[in-house]
Amino acid sequence: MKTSSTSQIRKASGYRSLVTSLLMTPILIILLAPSLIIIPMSFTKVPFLSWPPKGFSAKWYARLFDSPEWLASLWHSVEVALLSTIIAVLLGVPAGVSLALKQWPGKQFVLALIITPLVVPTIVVGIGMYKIYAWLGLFDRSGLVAAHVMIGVPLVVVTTMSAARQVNPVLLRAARSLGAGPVSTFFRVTLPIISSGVLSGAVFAFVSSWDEVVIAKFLSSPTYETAPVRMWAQITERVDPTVAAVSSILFAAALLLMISLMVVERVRR
Amino acid sequence: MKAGSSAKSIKLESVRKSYGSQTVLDDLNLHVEPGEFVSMLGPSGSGKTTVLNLIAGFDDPDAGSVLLDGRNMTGIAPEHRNIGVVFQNYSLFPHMSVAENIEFPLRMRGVSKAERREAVGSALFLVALDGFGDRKPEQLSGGQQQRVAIARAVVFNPDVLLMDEPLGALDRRLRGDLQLEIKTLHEELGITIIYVTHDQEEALSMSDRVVVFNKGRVEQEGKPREVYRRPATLFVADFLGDSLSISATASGDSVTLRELNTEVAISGHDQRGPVRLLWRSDHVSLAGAADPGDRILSMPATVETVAYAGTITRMRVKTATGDIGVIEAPEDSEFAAGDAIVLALDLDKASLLPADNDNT
Repeated sequence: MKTSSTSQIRKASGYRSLVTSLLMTPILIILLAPSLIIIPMSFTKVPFLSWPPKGFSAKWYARLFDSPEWLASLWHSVEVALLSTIIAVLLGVPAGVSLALKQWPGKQFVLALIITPLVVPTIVVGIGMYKIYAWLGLFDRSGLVAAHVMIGVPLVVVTTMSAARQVNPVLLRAARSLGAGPVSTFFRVTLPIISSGVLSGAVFAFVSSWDEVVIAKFLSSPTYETAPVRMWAQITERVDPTVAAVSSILFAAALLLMISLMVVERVRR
Repeated sequence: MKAGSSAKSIKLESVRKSYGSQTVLDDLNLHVEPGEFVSMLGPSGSGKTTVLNLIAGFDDPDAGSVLLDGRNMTGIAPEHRNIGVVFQNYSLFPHMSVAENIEFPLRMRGVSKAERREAVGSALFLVALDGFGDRKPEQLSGGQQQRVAIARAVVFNPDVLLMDEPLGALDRRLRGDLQLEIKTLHEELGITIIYVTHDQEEALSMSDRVVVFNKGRVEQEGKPREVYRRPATLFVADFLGDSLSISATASGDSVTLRELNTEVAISGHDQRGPVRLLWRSDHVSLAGAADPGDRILSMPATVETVAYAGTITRMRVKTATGDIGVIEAPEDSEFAAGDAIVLALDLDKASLLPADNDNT
């Protein structure tokens, strides 16, 4: 009796997982194919983007690493993404903690203000920034970093807030009663507990700067281009597989970052 | 951890505190002697936890002052008060081991690593958790976690130890064990302890003094036996246990029981007008065959409910005066609902309380 019912349950859950995978597979293919298709295309032999790729060659990667313009643009992307992520974390973490754990007037308004860049169409933000940053003299690196900070901050704030909401306020009182001032309490209790939220916010901020092209197009100049901006320019002029090679590298970097985030999370637990 | 040397007094003078339009504490005065174990007892929302928060420094009073060892603490941040606090539950830092939790206050005070390790060792020994230092809080049971929280709150020799329903989340048996441990700890460390609870048994069994709170005021304070046997108000009487009380009218030394057409003499009170005569459940006995004597009031009553409680049988009865109360009968008594009985009420054991329309 007992064994037959457990085997029935097992059979039922087997069917369920079969149905789930049948449904999931096409969805996954639709989601992933456009990202993955670029990788074989980057190894083609012919001098234009084509599907299916013809032959196998790494010459587009070689060309990429021989080109000072491409290397400069990749370095600019790294630079802008790193700087804007660091600044976004420095601004977004205190804001997120305060929004989640403290009571103060105007909180909802400030939160709405911080979230705005996520909601307003990027092209609108780009045009607005183009005008204001021109007036302020913010271009190239400083302009791009400032703009990407604005995109990164809401991401960090949101992930920090959801992590900080899980912090039991009793812990903060306990820390204070044990002799830790507000600053020590933040660094020794709050921050370690919310660190995974902060980390994923930082990764999101990095990645969103890493592949941001609309605002970057407005704020960059021929002497300071990020990789996506250069790719956009190239692909409108000619269909050179170097673009596919750059895409593969950008994709691999983002993927690596996401995987290392997941590994860090697992190790922690 | 030297016994007694660091114990300090706590004094609250005319303290008021409101949150929004709600007055939580209304002109509260409280004095706790150095080394004393005082329980603050009351229903939820009576203001006892607010008192604890004001002493710990998590909040400041709207008016009045909190004095630690005679020093006004208003405006002093919690981290500068040197007061240990044990919370109801889940107050251990989840990302730190047991040992790291316990050494946290020492680290904050700049104690050297060697001294920290020694202090953590003796604190773990004190709460009988030697060898648990490397565990994470989540690997401990609820009772063990609270013992670590206690060790963490006393390891830095605080001037006062505040405990906010520390056993509230534990099951009954474990609670009993830890009550004894906390009592022992108090005797060993000689520290001033203020203990918040809504469990009257806990308050009575552990404290030197009990302070009963009701609606932001101190309803009564005194030794456990005093407040239990001689409650000042019906609220205290009800909150601290079962009893039977009957209504009467007092004038001078004579008390009239109108329903029985009886007048009895009870001296040593200053009550006038409507009063209630109250007996603790265990002071009410059933009238026997022997002559009751002139200080015993015979009171016919009807049994309403019978509840077997192991060592005794608890019965809810309705007296001939129409009052309802709870009495204790021997464990082996075989009463049933509806039985007519006669109660023997010893006038010398009665408390005379003002009739109170607020808390019925």
